Amino acid sequence: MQVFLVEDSAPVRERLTEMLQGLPDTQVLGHAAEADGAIREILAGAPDVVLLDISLAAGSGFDVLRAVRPQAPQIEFYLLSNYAAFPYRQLAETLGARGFFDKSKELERVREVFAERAARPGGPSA
Amino acid sequence: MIGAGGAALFALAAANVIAFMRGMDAPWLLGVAIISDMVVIGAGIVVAAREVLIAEERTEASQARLSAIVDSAMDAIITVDENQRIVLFNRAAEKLLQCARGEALGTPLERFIPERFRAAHGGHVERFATTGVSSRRMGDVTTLWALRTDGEEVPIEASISQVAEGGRQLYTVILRDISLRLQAQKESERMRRALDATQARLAAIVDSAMDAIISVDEEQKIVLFNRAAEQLFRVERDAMLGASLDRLLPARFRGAHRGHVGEFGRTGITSRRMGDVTTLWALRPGTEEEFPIEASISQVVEGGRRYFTVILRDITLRKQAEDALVASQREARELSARVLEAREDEKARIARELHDELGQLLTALKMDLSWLRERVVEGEAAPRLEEMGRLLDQTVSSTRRISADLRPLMLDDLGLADAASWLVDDFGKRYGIASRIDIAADGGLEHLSKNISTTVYRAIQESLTNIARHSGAKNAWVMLAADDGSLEVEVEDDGRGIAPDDLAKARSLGLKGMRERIAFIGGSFEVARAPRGGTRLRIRVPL
Repeated sequence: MQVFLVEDSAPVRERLTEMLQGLPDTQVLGHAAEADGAIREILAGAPDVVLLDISLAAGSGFDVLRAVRPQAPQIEFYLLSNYAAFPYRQLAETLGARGFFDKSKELERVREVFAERAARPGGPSA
Repeated sequence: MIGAGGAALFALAAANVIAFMRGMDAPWLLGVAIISDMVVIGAGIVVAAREVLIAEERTEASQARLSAIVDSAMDAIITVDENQRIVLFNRAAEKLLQCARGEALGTPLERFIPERFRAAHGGHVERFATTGVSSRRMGDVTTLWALRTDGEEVPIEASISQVAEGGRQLYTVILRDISLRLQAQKESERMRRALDATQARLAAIVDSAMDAIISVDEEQKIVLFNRAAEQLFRVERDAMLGASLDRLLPARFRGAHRGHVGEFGRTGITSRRMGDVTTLWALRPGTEEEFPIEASISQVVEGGRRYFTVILRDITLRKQAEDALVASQREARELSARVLEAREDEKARIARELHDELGQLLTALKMDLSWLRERVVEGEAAPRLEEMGRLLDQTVSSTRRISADLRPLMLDDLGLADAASWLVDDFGKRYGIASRIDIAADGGLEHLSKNISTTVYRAIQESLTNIARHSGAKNAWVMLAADDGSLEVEVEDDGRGIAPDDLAKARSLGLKGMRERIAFIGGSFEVARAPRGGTRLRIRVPL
């Protein structure tokens, strides 16, 4: 499973990478801290899954969703954010995200969901 | 028996009396009526007396009738012989002179004439006798005076007639007490003087008034122009009397002014303020100089003509002060709005940093803790790590709450509809007040300016805070609706309801601030009791 990481905080990014690399059959393809760079690299690298923060160094995770989803609907997006109030979750769902994790309270769930996803060969589109 | 001539004369006298009673309007006419009346009565009596005397002692009946007529006359009638001794003295004479007939008959007339007139009176009577004129009025110019037996003098009006009969010269005097009439005349003179004095005083007041006073007639011709008006318009009174009021009005107002005055005339209202809302302008005649005025108008109808009086005052200074005040108020409002805006920006920056910077670090810490906990499952460190996890969670919650209290970042990220929904939801949970929000926007809330969405959000927040603090409500409702041109917000509760006084109190500084902010973005704001009880706040903002 190829994962692309969109996260502007270096300490968080490092720990997430470490956590994801520890999952079986999972590689972190790359990462970006800004919306524009993320859109470019996701479309170029075509990962299976994107783990996406909402608040970025420039732009927002929603911008990335809006730009990428119509062009690459097969890529699965999971949001991981400290902006976890219901309206944010609702918007993420509307824009086609498959999951949403509270960055401070649902970190354990990320590992569970991603491990499960990695174990499913080929993903949902396959 | 009274002859036809006597009857005719009595009829004429009666006609005179009636004519006099009908037309009381001219005092001199009254005098003429009385005099001619007395002359006629006098002549009538003389004629009657003569006719009676011709038939002297012929019948007792005619004698009795004559004395009945004489006695029933309203005026005092006294006949004297050539020696000025009284031979006839009727009932009215008894009353006028306070003397019984029996006492008067045979005595000299002189006793009823004040001493100072006696000599002159004798001469007058003699001259009258030699003229041969049968009757005339006595004391043409001056007032005559009679002396009563009780010593008091009475003003009288009198006429005298003479007749020669059987070698005897008889003079008959008809007298009337005019003390009441004199009194009335004096009173009316006093009143006229008082009226003159009042008018003079009024004229002095009008002239010394601080305000300009101008009266015009129906054709707008100036008929009164006081000193203050001269000073205000810098023009002589004589140049303005008879001139059209138009000369004092800027040309652009003349047409409308005529219409207004005409309308005012038709209302029949006696007075009112002019130009209720707008500023009125006056013109210095012959110049281009205009100045703002305050004026009131009154109307009065005199002798069938309508006059309008305008009292006016130059308000240049006041207007300048007012304009300056309005300008400084606007500046103060702008300044306060800018200060608020800066505060909002500052709060948003701190909220964002708290939420993002601190939030990320806390996330990293949590991940590290979770790594540690996986590796330390036994020993005394394990429960301490557990405890650290709980503290970290509390820290995350506190940070998010502090951030949200400073500025709801959702308002910037997602817009007013989401932020308001979240606010109402959170409010309900925090205070245990059942709170609902209805949003009917159809996308009208998506592209609001930051200023409008912040102001409206803060207004809803302030209202909810007031509900929690003061209302004791169980339910709260928020309605948010937007259409093409405006955004409408209602916040209602079922609490005890706001008292009108509360709106004015210092405690409602929040309300005042809200009103200010909404006014600044051009909106309207209204707080009132809700129909179902409680308080209802209504905001309308143009988009």
